[in-house]
Amino acid sequence: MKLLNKSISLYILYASVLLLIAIPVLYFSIQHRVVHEMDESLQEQKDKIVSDLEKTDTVGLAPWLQNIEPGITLFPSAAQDNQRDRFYTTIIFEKISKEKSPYRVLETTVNLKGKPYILQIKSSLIDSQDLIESIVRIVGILLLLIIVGLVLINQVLSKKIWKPFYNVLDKLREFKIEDNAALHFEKSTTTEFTALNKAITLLTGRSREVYQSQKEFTENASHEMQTPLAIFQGKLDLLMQTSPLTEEQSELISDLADVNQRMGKLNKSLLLLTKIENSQFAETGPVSIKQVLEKLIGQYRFQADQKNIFIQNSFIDDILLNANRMLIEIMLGNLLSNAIKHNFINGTVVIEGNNAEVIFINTAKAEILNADKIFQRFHKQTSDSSSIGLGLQIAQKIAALYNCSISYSFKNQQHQFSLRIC
Amino acid sequence: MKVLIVEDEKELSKSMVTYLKAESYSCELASDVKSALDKTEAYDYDCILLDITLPDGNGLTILKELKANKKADGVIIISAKNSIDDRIAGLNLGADDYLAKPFHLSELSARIAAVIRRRRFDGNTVLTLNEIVIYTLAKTVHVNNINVDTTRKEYDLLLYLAANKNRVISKNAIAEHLSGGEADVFDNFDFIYAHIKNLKKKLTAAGCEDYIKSIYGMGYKFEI
Repeated sequence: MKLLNKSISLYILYASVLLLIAIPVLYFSIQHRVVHEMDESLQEQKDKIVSDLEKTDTVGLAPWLQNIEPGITLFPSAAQDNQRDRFYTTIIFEKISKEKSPYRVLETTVNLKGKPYILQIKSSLIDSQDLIESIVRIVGILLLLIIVGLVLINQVLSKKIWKPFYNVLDKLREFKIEDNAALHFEKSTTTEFTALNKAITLLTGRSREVYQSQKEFTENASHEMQTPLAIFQGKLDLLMQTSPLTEEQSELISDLADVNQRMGKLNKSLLLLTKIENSQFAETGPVSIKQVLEKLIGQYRFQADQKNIFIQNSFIDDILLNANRMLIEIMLGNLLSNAIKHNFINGTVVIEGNNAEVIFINTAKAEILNADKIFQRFHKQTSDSSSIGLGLQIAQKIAALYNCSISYSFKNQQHQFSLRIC
Repeated sequence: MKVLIVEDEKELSKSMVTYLKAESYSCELASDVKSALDKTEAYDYDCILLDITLPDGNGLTILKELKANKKADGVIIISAKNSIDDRIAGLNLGADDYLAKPFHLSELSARIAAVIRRRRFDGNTVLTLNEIVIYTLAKTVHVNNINVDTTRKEYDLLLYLAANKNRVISKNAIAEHLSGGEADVFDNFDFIYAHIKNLKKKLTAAGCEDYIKSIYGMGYKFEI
């Protein structure tokens, strides 16, 4: 749920409760007030009538008894009652309009010439009822309008107020640690957002610095390593020339040479990775995937022949990729090299694809590989010491550089690596 | 044959000198741009091994100077950078070859030999090793004046061995050389053995003495 909706829903809840309570309270309090007013006016009327009646004689009573005055009834009472006034509301059916309407009635007993009479004064409530209803309705509508208006204003205002926040969010989403440019935010007048921007700028800046220095370290370390490696290699080559050499010594030298070879390879791969990450391969042009594949197959023919591996090239369509030729050769070379390396003797490598995909399929010694891990740095599936665990990562990094992707699947006991061109 | 080694790393240049001296090259050393320029101005060399990163500047300035003076010295760039830009820049400036660190001394020796062949004899040299004669222009091998039909790889292998005759060449160096340095080299060295075996077979069949010796599984040596 959006923060905005969260706060608004609370407002709406409060407003509905308020409305539900306020309208009946309003209705009943107005009604109470109206009835009270009416009672007072009935009382006044009664006082006046009673004083009029007391002044009239028996003859003068006759018109009163015939209910000449509308709303006033006078009739003789059977019982000798006390003079208490009684107020009540009643519904009377009106013959003319054929409608039931509420009336407020004052009933009292008066003694005229020693005889008890009952006096009833009625006043219609229908008008005041209508008035109350319309007042309540207007007030209700007004309240509703105020609430809706508040919610709408709040929403619009919140959206405006939160805009810097969403801007920050978008920027963060697009943030790449390897980008050279620092994050830049629009100035906000809100203190909280200014603080947030400052904190994020600081945080991202620091991460970028750390990343940069780490990258530089890898680069420098690999560079500086080349010279000692070269010296070591040279000394080993010279050591081989010394005589006499026993078999034991030769074996040790041979082992050292192998290890040095591996170090050299590792170092070169790390350097390459750093260079890809640094985007130091600016030179691009259209590269024909078909041509590169043919060249690579020629290059690896030698390695394939050693294991008597048959390479079937079924890649017929061509893809032209705007890229650095050397990187494309490295990427496809790594995939082909893996397909040969992790294969058994007399195995096959099939290269197929169309205008959007290149797929390397190879028979395999190993079972299904862990697709999540194979692209990670230094993840080795085999204990094969010739594998340094960087080939696939390099391939993937290159693919990512050109908006392509490499995915792995295992079908019919064969590994499949497909390069999807986007 | 005179070789100038321009390299600031003492231990590396020392190894290079030791190895190349045994190949009967006379080596001179320069450890910075200034002394290298002094030497190239005063003398002509058959081959100059040029490191790019030197304490007082870029090794490529020496190359530029050589070309400006129309010197015919062969130049092999040796760099720790192995960056394609350096490679292209060096070759565009007229370097003959490019070798990335770390390298095998046997590879260096073979490259020097190739550069000198190209520079001095337009690639047309005849290498005579007792009864074996290698015609580098035609890329053919004769034993006792009879043509030996070798594959491309076998020819490369023989030339490599010959360039490092009487030295032990490690299996790694041979594998790297035969793969052309571009393709990934696998740890399986059976293929070297297979190539050596075929080459030996062809040479001995032509009446050649068996000069190629295996040294305890460490490498091979062309003993003459």
